[in-house]
Order: sequence, then structure tokens, then C-alpha cells
Amino acid sequence: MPEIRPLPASDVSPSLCRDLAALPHEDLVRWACTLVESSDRAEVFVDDQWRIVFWSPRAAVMFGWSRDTVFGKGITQVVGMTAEAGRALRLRTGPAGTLLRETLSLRRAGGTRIDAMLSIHPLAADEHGRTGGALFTFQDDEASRVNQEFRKFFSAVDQSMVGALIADPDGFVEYANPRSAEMLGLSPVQLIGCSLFGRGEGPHAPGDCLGLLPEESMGQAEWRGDRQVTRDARPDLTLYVVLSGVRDAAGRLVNQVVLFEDLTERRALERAERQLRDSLAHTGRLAALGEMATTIAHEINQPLTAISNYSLGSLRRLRGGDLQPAPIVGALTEISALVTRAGAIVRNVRRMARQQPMAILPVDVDALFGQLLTMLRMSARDSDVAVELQCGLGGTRVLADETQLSQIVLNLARNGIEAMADVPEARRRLLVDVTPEAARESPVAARFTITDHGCGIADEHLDMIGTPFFTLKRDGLGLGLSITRTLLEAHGSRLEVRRNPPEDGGMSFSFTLPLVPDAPENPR
Amino acid sequence: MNPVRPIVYVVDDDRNVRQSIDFLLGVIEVDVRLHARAEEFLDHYQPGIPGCLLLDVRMPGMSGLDLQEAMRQQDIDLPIIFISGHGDIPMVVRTMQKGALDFLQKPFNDQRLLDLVQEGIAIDRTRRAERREEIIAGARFELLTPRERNTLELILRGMTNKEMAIALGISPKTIETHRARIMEKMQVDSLAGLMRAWQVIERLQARREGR
Repeated sequence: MPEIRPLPASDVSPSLCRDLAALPHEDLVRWACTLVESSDRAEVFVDDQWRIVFWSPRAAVMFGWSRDTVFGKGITQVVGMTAEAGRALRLRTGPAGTLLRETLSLRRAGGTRIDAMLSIHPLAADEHGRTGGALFTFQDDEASRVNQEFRKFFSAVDQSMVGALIADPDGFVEYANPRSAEMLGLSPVQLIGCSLFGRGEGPHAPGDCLGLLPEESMGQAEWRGDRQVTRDARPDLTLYVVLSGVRDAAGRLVNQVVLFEDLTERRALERAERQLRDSLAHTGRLAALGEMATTIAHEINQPLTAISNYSLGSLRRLRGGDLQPAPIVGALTEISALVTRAGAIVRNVRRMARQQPMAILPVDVDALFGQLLTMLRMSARDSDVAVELQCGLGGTRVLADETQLSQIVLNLARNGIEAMADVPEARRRLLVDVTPEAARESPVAARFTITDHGCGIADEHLDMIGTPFFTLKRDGLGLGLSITRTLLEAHGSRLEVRRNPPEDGGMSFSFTLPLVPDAPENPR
Repeated sequence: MNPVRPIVYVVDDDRNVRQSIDFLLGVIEVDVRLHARAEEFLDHYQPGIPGCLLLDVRMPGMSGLDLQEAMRQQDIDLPIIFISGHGDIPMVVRTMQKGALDFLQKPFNDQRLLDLVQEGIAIDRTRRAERREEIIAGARFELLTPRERNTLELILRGMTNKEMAIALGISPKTIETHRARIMEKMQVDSLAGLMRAWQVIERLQARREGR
């Protein structure tokens, strides 16, 4: 056994140094040898020429060479480094002769490779000033990786922006990360021992119950959902909570892991965004109504004129002593029909002017088209455009916000009508049609297409279409299409713009909406 | 005397407005013809019967303004009462400049409608009578010889027979004969009657030149 000097004092605590100094030299050597021999790392001592003078049992296991076979051989050669790599390593250890934690790919006896982390510590020079060689420590990479992974995982959990709690099978917290404590308004230490559930169990007071999980999830291995949690500091806390059980090899529940995220802010943002979109839609409708004001006034004035004529004509007859009932009855019948006509227009306008939150419900497209036709005929009247609405859904309803759907169709149709102002009258035809569209899977969508035969859109403008404040109209605001696009996105759909074949001319705008699935009593 | 019933034409693309006007006009003694399109009116217009036209300004296809222009080109001299909605004022102004009788804004007062219709019919009757007068006077004037026309001109200047005889270099006797022939051909029996007939001819000539 070669003589071994103690490690540099810098590596050992002062008290340990004192204890070691008090030991007889032989004991110290034996103690050191035991320590080195029982180490779970491969410990190798080399002389100043890096020739092996000591080869620990763990080194023998790791590299597959016995102590006898390697004694006096160069370490770099034994662990399978090329002469060049050995020289490079030597250079890198530098004058101090220290190398810390370098992972190398080395060779075992028989040629298999092993990844190991190498540290080199220089040994103190002897009294003649000669270098005392070095201690090579190889650590199996597998072990170091597990160690590192665990450390990495743990620091990730600890620093995570997600609240993390680990609880025992009964739901009492054993570990809490700082973020969870922050969200719940308690310290990590206060959280230990609290119940994940709403009701206190055993020695815990109700205040110790976090209410992160509903009672019915108790004992379940998996649960996820939104939870309203009331804490003193945060009365309106909304959390998204995920529970997963950790089981041992035998399938017994050993731990419950709960991860949760604060949704309060996100919910508030979503709400604000929804309100903004609703009010944008409303503004768009008001703008459209504003543009149509003259037309609407005219359209209401027509039945009013007729009503006035019928009533004044009736009065004149009656005052003149003409008491024949037939003409008066006819006039009154006309009047009541005209009132209905005027009322329908007023209702349409009011529906468009109303500000209301978006509500996606089944919509009967046929009925909707009936109402839209009145509005569209108004727009088309002065421009001599023939408007046609075709619904090919056969009574199946679509899922949409009815007001916004009318707004989308009306916007696109009015654009189409305006685009045809300068084409010959025979070509001024606007078609709105809806056809069922088979998707890849069983649910079927309805495709709405608005086709005009107008002047079309130039290539260089096609990309700009729907950009806020971009307009091709003389007095347009450039908001109609961008609002339309926003509303469609809120419906989970998107606007598709296509140029018609040259023989037809004009553009087609289309989008899809989901159809209401068949009612259960009417299975396919 | 029971003159032929005048015709009131109503041209409006809105069926309800059209029919309600028909109902309102039912209280006066007129025939009403309803047309949805301007072209339809042109096809069915009866030139021989007096009347007037109630015409909507805003219509798809040929507008009220277009029809007014077409009537001018086709020499249809029927009084037009325009019916307009809101915001049509600039158009109405143009129709008035082009000689429309008046305009009514929807919804309109029944009395005003009836008054205007009656006024339109009356104007049309007068105009037709004047036209007839002009045609007759014109035809009679055509019967005069050049010498008689010269004489007529001088009579209208207020010359005496003697002055005319000197001016034309003929005897007062011959002037006398011309004068009698003119009165006979123009079918008048006094100088006042001759003056009136001449005014009609002047009106006819002014209108012909004006075209």
C-alpha cells in the first residue's frame, strides 16, 4: 500500500482537520483507505506522471480492470483515452493540476463505453518540492444524472409560477411550493398539514381547509376543473386545479399532487375582451344603420304614406255621407297590413341597434333570411341590384349569435351591392346562399357565401382586406370588414375571400358555422 | 255639358302607395291608371284625354326625372305632380326647374293632393283648348294670300284704310275688299276679334320658335 498524504486542508472543515491531526498517523492512513475503498465513486491515485498507484474497488467495478492489471500504467490509457486526448486533458488541468466535473466518454475492459464525470484533485508536493501526483475521481454518469434530474425537477417545482402541493393519500399537505403559498395567502410552512378539501378532517380546524378540491374528488386519482376559492386577501380567486395521484408499484395511492393556476386575471381579461368585442360589434351595427338611415326612413315612410292615404280617404268618404262599408273595410284591412310592414322594419332596426352580449344559440337561417331580405332590398333599391337569398339547410339550424350573424351577412351583402354600382344593370345580382358542408368528421357545417358581380378587388389590395381603416370605398370608414372578421373569429370561423371566375366577375366572401346536431329523438 | 272623364296617371314602384292614392282619388270624378314603372306609363298614355300625372321621384330603372325628360322629348305635355320622400329635395328642385306643376312630400295631405290634381287637370284642359285654338287660328291664317297678310299686318299696326292705301300703293277700295276677305277667312266680325286671333297665332309662332 503506498503512502498517502492527507487531502489539502481547504477541502476539509477546520474541526475535522483538528480531529484528524489528533489521530495517530497509521490510524489516519487506515481511515483514509477505508473511506476511499468504500466510496461509491471510482477513486484513483496517480503519481506525478499520472501512473496508477491506487485503484479503488469501485474503479475496478466501473472499468472492469482489476487492481493488479492496472498498477503502474498510465491512467488515460487505462480508461481508454487516446494519447492525444490524454495530452489534451493534461493541458486542461493546467499548472494547478485541478479539473472539476468533466463528463467524458470512456472505455471499459472489453471495449464497451461508459460515460463518467471526472474530477482531478492535485495532491500536495512532498518536502523535496516534487509534485505529489493526483486523485482522480470518476462518477458514473447514470447516478449523477439521476441526482441532477432530481435537483432540476425540484428547483423547477419550487420556482414554478404554478402552485404545487404534494399531499398524503388523505389530502393533507406535505409540501407546498412558494407560489402556492403566495396565491393562497399563507406561508409554505402554514400550508403543511392543511387539507386540500373543503371540509376539515381529524384535528384540523375549518380554517385549515383550502377547498382546492371538491368533496367528490376525494379518493379519486384524477380531477381537474375550475374552483372558486375564498381567501381573506382574495375574495374572488378563480383557480384551475389539476389533481393527480402518485401510486407505488403495488398500485397503492402514496401521494396526491395538486397543481393550480390563478385564472382570476385571465378571466377578467377575457371578460374585458368579450365586452370590447360586443361593443365593437354594436358600434359597427350603429355605423351601418347610420349609413342606411335615409333608406330606412324612406322604407318606413312608404307604408306611412299609404296608411295616411287610406285613412284620409276613408274619412273623406264617411264625412261626405258615403256609408258603403266595402271600400272602408278594404282600406282598414290595408292599413293593418301596412302597420305590420312598418313594424317589421322598426323591429329590425331596433334589433340592430340593441347592445347585447354575444349569445351563441341555434338560429333558424330561413327566418333570419326573411328579415334580412327586407333590409337588403332597402339597400339594393336605389342601386338597382337584384338580391337573392337562398337557404339550402332544410330547417336545420346553425349555432351563432343571431344579431351578429345578421350583421355579418348584411355587411358583406352591402359591400357586394356597393361594389356593383358601376357595372351594367344586367350584371347587378347579389346572391347570398347557405349550403350544408360535410367536414372530415361527422359534424357538418353550414357554408354561407355572398357572391357579387362587381368590380372585384385588385391583387395588391386583397391582403389588406379586413385590415382596420383600410377601405376601397370613397366615403368608407374601413371598419365593416374588420368588424365582420372579428365577429367571425369570435364564432370560431374565418372569412374566406375568393375572386370569381373571369366570366362571372366580382368576389365571393364565405364562412362556415356549425350546424346544430340532430335532435336525439330524430337520430340519423 | 258632360266632358270626358279626365285620367290621373299614378306612377310609383310601391304597390301600397300606388293603391292608396287610387283609393284617395276615388272621391273625385276621375279615371285612375296605376303604373309601377315609367316605361309602362309611356306605353299606355292616352294623348287625347286630359289629365295629369302623379310621379314618384325615386324608382328603380327609369326614375321620375328620366320620365320627365322622356315626356319632353316625346312632346307629351301633361302636368306632372312629383311625389317625393325625405332627402329628395335637390331632385325635386330640378323637376320644378324643368316645369313640373308642383311636388308633394310623403306622407301628404289629402286636400292638397286633390287640389293639385284638380289644378293639374284644369291646366291640362286649358292647355288643350289653347292648342286647339292655335291650330284653328293657324289653319285660317294659312288661307290668307301674301297681299292679305301684308294688309293684316298694317291693320294690326292701327292704320286707317287711307294710310294703308298710300302705304301699299293701292286704292282705298281695294283695301276695303282685302279687309272684308281677311275678316271672313279668319272668321271674326270685329277688329277686337281679329286682334285676339292674331295673339293666338303669335303664341303658336313663339312656341314653334321656342322649340
